[in-house]
Amino acid sequence: VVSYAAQRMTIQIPEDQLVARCRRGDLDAFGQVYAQYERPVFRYAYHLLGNAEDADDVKQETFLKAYRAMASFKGDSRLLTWLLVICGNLCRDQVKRRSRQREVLYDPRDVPVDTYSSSDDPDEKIEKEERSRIVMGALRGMPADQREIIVLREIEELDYAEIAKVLGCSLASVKLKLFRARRRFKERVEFMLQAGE
Amino acid sequence: MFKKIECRRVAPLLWEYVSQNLPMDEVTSVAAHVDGCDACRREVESYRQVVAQVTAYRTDDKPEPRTSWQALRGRIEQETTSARKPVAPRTALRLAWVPAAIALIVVLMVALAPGRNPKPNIQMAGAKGAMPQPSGPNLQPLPPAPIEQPNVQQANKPEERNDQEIVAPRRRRPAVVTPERQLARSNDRAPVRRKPAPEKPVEPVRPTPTQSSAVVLADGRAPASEQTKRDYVIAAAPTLQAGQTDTAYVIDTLTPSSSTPVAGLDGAMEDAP
Repeated sequence: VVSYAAQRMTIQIPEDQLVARCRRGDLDAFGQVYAQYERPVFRYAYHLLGNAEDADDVKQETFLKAYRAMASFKGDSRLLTWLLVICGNLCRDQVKRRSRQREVLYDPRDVPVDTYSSSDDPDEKIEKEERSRIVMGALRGMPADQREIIVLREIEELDYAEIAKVLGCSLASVKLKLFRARRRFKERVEFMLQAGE
Repeated sequence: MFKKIECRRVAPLLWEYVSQNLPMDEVTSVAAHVDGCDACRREVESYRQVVAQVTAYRTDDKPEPRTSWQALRGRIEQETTSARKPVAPRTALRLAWVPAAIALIVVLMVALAPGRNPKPNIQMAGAKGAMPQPSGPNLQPLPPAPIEQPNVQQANKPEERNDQEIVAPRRRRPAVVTPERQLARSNDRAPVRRKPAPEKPVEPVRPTPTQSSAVVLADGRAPASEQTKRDYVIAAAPTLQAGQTDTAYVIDTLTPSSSTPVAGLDGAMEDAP
């Protein structure tokens, strides 16, 4: 069994070779894929769901589905893009199951923030937590499709073409959606900043 | 006017302009517009604040996933093992009802299929040749039915009902107005299911000599005259079947009517045309 640290050291294998080995049922190769993309997939789920525990479940489910469906991966995009498509679908299902309600504008004072900062400096820790509260609060108050595109572009730093693949829309549509989402996000961040003062 | 159009063109580029992701030629034009437009300059300032927050947040620590690769690997291996595991005998017994249920469903579907409505068995009592000719209303032949229907035309004829046996289909037929039903309604009668009538013995047909008949004796002699013919009744006439012509009868014995009256033939000569 390859340890987690060892997996992180051996991710230099080209992606197409990893995919080919995964298709043959090589679990060690899939372990390397997991080590490489676990964090972005988890982050994406975390920002869409706003909850680390749910994000963790969705992340595991994403990789399980990906392993089962590895034969259907055509290789015309990055493996991460494909994983984010699966993860996005699972998150949408989760949100529908959980709430089945309209988007609700949260009161920023009620936004719970996971305390996960590893900083030893108390001021820095407070600053990071405040930033997290603002960004997460702003995201939570946005419609799901706008939240999704902001996370893909501004946090995961995908380019427009990759975003179009993840969301299943055209490049022009991505630009238009992103412009509207950014404007909304700006308003939400300003609101959160004013609420925190 | 032109300023507003330029503001609309520049607005989608402001975030990228602030985060320094615009191509150089775009940067120059956006910067030129922002320098001369107060509204766009204020917009840029507010974008700077947001982009700074997001950029810092991007590099901040995030919550770590708690579940590990080992947990997922165990799940995958368990799935693979359970997929290869043969079906236990007990489970196989439990699943034995599945093919039985499928077979039952197929049998029921075949039995209840609408196209398999059984044709009613209409049996005619007695021989065809012994049936009397219909003398009821003049029934025109009906057009062919759109679906396969029982032949119940005979049942609607009043004189023949007693001589027929209509065996109804086993299950209810769909409520379709068939030509037979229409005819039954027009006659204000519905097809009646009756018991078969007891078979009647065939009555021998006694020939009745007519003016055109040639009545001859058994030895070939002809009767003396028309009057002579009237004085006698036929004692032993050949039995004729329906439809047989009576152009010539060979009579064995001519007996005077006064001495040997024959039941059923009294006055037969007088009633004859």
